[in-house]
This record gives sequence, C-alpha cells and structure tokens, in this order.
Amino acid sequence: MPDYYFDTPSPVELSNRLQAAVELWKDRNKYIADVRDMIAGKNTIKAPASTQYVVRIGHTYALASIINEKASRFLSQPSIQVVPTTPDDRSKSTRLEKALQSAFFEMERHGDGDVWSRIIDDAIALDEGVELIEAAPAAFWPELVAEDEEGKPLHIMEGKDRDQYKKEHGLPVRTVYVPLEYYLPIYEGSTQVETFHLEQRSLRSVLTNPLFDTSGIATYSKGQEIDLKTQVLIVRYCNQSIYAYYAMTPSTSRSNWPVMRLDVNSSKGPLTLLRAYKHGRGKVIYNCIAGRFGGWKTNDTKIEPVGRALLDINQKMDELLSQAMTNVGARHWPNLKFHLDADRRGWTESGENPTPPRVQPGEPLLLYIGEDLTPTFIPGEDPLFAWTYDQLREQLNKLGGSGVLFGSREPGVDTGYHQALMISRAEHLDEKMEQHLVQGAINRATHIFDIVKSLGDKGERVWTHYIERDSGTNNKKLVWLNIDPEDLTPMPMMDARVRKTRPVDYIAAVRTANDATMERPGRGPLLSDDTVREEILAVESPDIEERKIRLQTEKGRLIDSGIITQAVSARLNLRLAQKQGPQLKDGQVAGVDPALLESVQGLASQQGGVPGGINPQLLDQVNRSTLGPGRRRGMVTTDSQPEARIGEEVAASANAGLGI
Amino acid sequence: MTTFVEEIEDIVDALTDWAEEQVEIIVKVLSPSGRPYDQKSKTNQERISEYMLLRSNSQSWQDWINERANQIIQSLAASAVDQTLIEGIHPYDIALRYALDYSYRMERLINRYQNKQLGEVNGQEEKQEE
Repeated sequence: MPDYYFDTPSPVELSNRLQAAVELWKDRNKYIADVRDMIAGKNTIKAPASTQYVVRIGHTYALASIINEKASRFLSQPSIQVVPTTPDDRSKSTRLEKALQSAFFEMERHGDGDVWSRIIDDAIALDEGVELIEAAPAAFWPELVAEDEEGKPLHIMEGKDRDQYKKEHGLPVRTVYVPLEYYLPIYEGSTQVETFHLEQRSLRSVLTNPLFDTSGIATYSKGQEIDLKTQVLIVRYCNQSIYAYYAMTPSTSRSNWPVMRLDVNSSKGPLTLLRAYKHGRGKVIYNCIAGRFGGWKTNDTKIEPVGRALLDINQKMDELLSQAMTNVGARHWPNLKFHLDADRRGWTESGENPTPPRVQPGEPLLLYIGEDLTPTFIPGEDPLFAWTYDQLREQLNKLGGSGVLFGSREPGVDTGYHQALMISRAEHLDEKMEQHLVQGAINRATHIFDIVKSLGDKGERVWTHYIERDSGTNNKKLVWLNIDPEDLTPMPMMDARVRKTRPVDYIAAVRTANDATMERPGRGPLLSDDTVREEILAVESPDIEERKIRLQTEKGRLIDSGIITQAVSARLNLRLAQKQGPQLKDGQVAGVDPALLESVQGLASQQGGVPGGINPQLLDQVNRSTLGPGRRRGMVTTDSQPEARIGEEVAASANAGLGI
Repeated sequence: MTTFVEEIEDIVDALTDWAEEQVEIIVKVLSPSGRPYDQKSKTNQERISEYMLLRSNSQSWQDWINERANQIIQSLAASAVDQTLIEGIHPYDIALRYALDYSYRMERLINRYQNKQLGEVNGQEEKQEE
C-alpha cells in the first residue's frame, strides 16, 4: 500500500499535494462560484452605461427557485430501513432504524445543524454535497477517555455506570456541512485516498484550542483583539487512516495571511501541523452525496453543460427582465421632449438653448402655437417580451424540472393526460437524484456504524433516545436505544427513504396494498401483510405497526363486549348507594308528617311498584314509625325482598346499555 | 407504558365521575332545600306556607314524591343514561329520602314557631294575673 494511504505527510509534501488539488478542481470551483453567484443574484448584467434614461437592473432568481422547489421534495432527514436477515431479526432491525433516526438528528445538533438539507441544496445545484462525520469521544465523553501518564483510564466505569454515563453525555458523533468548493479530494478510481478541506478560523480560536499544538504559529500573535480579526486558513487533511489539521501561515509579510480563493491557485503559504490523529475508519471520514449526474469524480462532469445552460437561461431572463424594467421605466417615467418656437422663447445669439417651461403638478402649461410636448418613448404593447420570456421559462422547466409535481398547471396544459405526461417527465428527472441521495444516506448510516465499531478496542455501545407519546395519557416520555457493535457484524443491509411521500403516492400505494393482500380462492393473498407494509407502503417498522393493529383490534372487541359500560354501571351504583340523598338518622322518620308516611306506604303498595323500587330498609323504618316500635306490617307485596334488591342492582349493572 | 387494563380503568373512572356528577347535579337542583340560580332564599314564613300545602295531605305528598322521582328519571334520561341504569339508581329512594328529610326539618321548624308563640301567650297571661 502506498504511504499516502496511511501516513501523515510532512508540511512541505502536503503543501505540494494541496496545490495539485487546487489546480485539479480549479474549473469545478469556477463553475461553483458562478452558480453560487447566480443563486444569490450577484451575476453581472451588462447594460449601456451612458443613456438618456435610467437603466434598471433586475434578477429573476430562476435558478434559486428551481433549487427551492426541488429541495422541498426531499425529507429534511433521510429515513433508514435496516433489512432483517431473518424474521427473528425484526426487532433488532427496528431498534437500529429508530436509533439511526435519532442519531441523524443528534449528530446534526452536535455539529452545525441543518446539514442534510444543505447537502441536498448542493447536490441539486452543484451535483454533489459533502458532510464531515466526526467521532469526538474526547469532547462528549471526557471522563470516559481520560487517561493518566501511563495511558491507563483515570475513571473506571463498567456495566450500568458506563451506560448511564454515555446516556447522559450523548452520542459522540457530529456532522458538519462542507461547502463543495472547499473540499478537494484526490481520487484513485472511485476511491478517495486523500482529501483536503479548507476553512477559515480566527487566529485567536486557533491559539486557544487545547487540542492544537500552536508552537509553530504562536509567534504571530499580536494580542487577542488583533488575533480575532486575523483569519487563518486551516487545511484539514484526511486519508484512510489519519486526520490532521494544518495552519497555512504567511509566506512573506508576517501580516499577509493567505486567503481562500479556489478559482485561482493563490492559496499559498507554508503549512504548520496543529494536530493529527488516527480516525480508524479505513476510509476518509467525509460523506459525499452525489446529485443527478453522479457527482464530481474528475474535473469533467455532466452537470456542467446542464448547469451552464441553466445559468445561461437565467442570465438571459435577468437581462430580459432588466430591459423590460428599463423600458417600462423609460416609458412610464418619461423624459419629455419639447418642440419649442425659438423666436418666441428667446433664442439668444450666443446660441444658448431656451429654457424649457417648468410646471408644477396641477398648474396649467403654457405652450405657443406650433409648440409640442411629447414623451421621448411612446408606451405601447411589445409581444416580443412575453414571447421571449415564455420560451426561456419553458426551456428552464425542461432542464430543471417543473412545478407540475406540486400540482401547478403549465400554460397550454389543459388535459389530465398532458398533465400526467409532464409529471412523469419531471419525476424522471428526479429519479436519479433520489437514487444517489439514498446511497448517500446509507453511507451516512455506515459511517455511524463504523464509528461505533472503531471506538475503544472492541467497539463501544452508544446510546440514542427518542421521545414517545403515551397513547393513554398522551404524556411524552424518553425511550433509550442502543447501537451495539455486536449487532454490526456482519454489517446490516440497509435501504433509505429520502423523498417525501406525496398524498397521491400514498393513495396509490394503499390501493396496491389492498389488491395485493386480497384473498384469492384457494391460493391466499398475493403478498403477505409484512411484505406489503415494507415494500409497498414503506412502513419503517412493520412489526410495530402489526402490534399496533392487533392491539387496536382487540381493544375494539373488548369495548364492543360492553365491559366498560358494565364497569361504569357497577361503580356508579356503588357510589350512589353510599350517598343516596340525605342520610336519615334514627328517629328522624318518627318526626315527619304522618300523611307523608301514609303516602310512602301508598307508593309501596302500588300495583307493579315504582321504577327502581323502594329500599326495604327505608320502608321498614316508615312502617315501624306508623305502627309503633316492635311492630311490623309485614312485607309489602310489590316491593323487593332485600336479597332481590341486591339482585336488582347486579342486574342493573350487568344489563346497563351503552347510554353512558 | 400504560397497559391496556390501566387504560380501561382510566376510561371507567372518567365515565363514572361524569355519571356521578350528572346525578348529583340533578338531585341538587331538584332538592327542596336547593336554591335555584339567581333566586333569593325563602323566609321561614314562606317555607312554612309552602309546606302547609302538603301537610296532612297524603295525596299531595304522593304527587310531590312522584314529581321529584319523575324529574330525576327524565333528567337522567336526557343525559343519555340507560333506563336500566336509571332504575339501578332507585330514583324513588332518592325522592323519598328528600321528602322525609324535608318533612322532618319543617315539622321541627313549625314546632319551634308554635313553642315560641305559646311562650309569648303564657307570658301575657302571667302579666295579666299579676
């Protein structure tokens, strides 16, 4: 194996290789600079400098709008599907999927945020997006990796304590967005063997970074205030084994620090090594995600002709817009043209022009016979503008993909058939893009797995978490998941979803799923529920979905059986039995109106009784009061026996309908 | 994670609370000592006058009890409580307890008034004798 695969090069060697890389990607970077300018509306529009009218410059931002529209079709985070090798592996793959989902979010949060979205923007506009996926156990788990002078761990944490520590301190991985122009890889075939990544930091931040050996640049310090304004070009170097940071120092004047200019070979200066470490991943730690045309492996790519065409159209549209705006301005905010009678206006012999009359708004204008006042440019229709603009727009849509995917109707597209044709044409343009993003997402997950396997001697289990909402109480709660190195040998097979599902896609998928799972006489359905969920409906965790469905079905059955109604009736009766109206004290019944006692007895003896009956104990109290103590009239014929009353209550509980 | 049994218990608790609250509201509104919203409390004289319409008339009492019990039944039915469940609540028991409690309190009130008047009459006679 060549030494540049694994060794840290000397600063001089590295400087030469960097210059070669800058030279190699010079054309790419010129293209990138042009695209970035066009997106930002910084492209130059040539216009006549000396005119009688005011030139107005406008930008259509057509390229930016295409990128916006295309980027909105993709998810802000990819969704990984870990394919189980056997049905028993289903729960493991579900755990890994959820852990990865959470890890993607966490690594962006630990890095500079919104990384995947920016990668997608670059992949659309430049045909490649790059992210740096760093393992930083020293930053996230300081106590776990701290060692004494002999290299022994300072804090010994094992088992639950170790896991608890790792849970508290989070995933030791971060991802950083790398602008493509600052990423200079050196390929051998399809493999990146060395890469340069350039960035600028203040001299102050470089000198205060505890991980950097700053002895080579400390002499440049001129105090913190000046150091803060001094920008240092940092060269990050990576090969299959080493990751290193170098500072590019001034070559001649001590205050003339090199700046990043990548379209020309001007980033020159001696390099000083700040830090180098073995990353242990066996490949460069950058994840390059290709766009529609497969990214930049050489300085020659298919994106450039298409991109240049888009830039050209955008430029023409900007020029046309500027002409139109200038024209409208000149016609509607006109310079007036006076035809004056020289004799009447006082033509001087010295040849000076007569002064044109000045009139305030609302005041009458005095003109002599034969004089005239007209605008320089006469307002009028110019169909050429509209025609040219439509042509450009149509060509732009053909190259960039159109908004029909989101339901917008193009002019002249009147039938559903034509609309469908346009949708399939636009989708076709995105298919390649989607395919490459999927590969990039899988590579991203593989980087995380590689990091888990490379931590420590035998790998290190890492923890991620996600928030789950309790279906009963609706409260949020934390669920911990781990990625265990033991689960990663052999490396799981993965797939990814990167595009949003459109409602129309989902409806079509559900119909297909229904058809595929329909019972066929004697032969069963065409596909199993499991396959349909995974392959057609793209459900991330089909086993969890199946469990949810089973639970829902059984819940429904149980509720339909009336168990809730019965339980409610029983409990309600119990509560009401405990406090049914005012509680009557001993002897209280004796003190009431005798006519009332008679009426109670009357009610009790009614044919068929009263609804719900009367409590026998209460009736007994009434009878004793009317007949005197120790005497009973006997059981009232229509009233329930005490045992019957208990039976009544049980029956009421058991047979209560669904009214409540 | 909440188990299914816990979930069902939660639902039963919530429904029971609701049903009990409905019954209590109805009973409270219908009780003779309950004061309807935005009305003044009755004076003792007014309460006695009202009670005298029932006193010693078993038919009036029966009508009063029937009316209260029916109001409970109708109100519960209007709250979509099943007929079987209504019977399980025993509306006549509730109405009867209120009637007995009401009559007991009013009889005591009448007794207090009678004793007071008797005391006043006795006092006047003693003065005349002197």
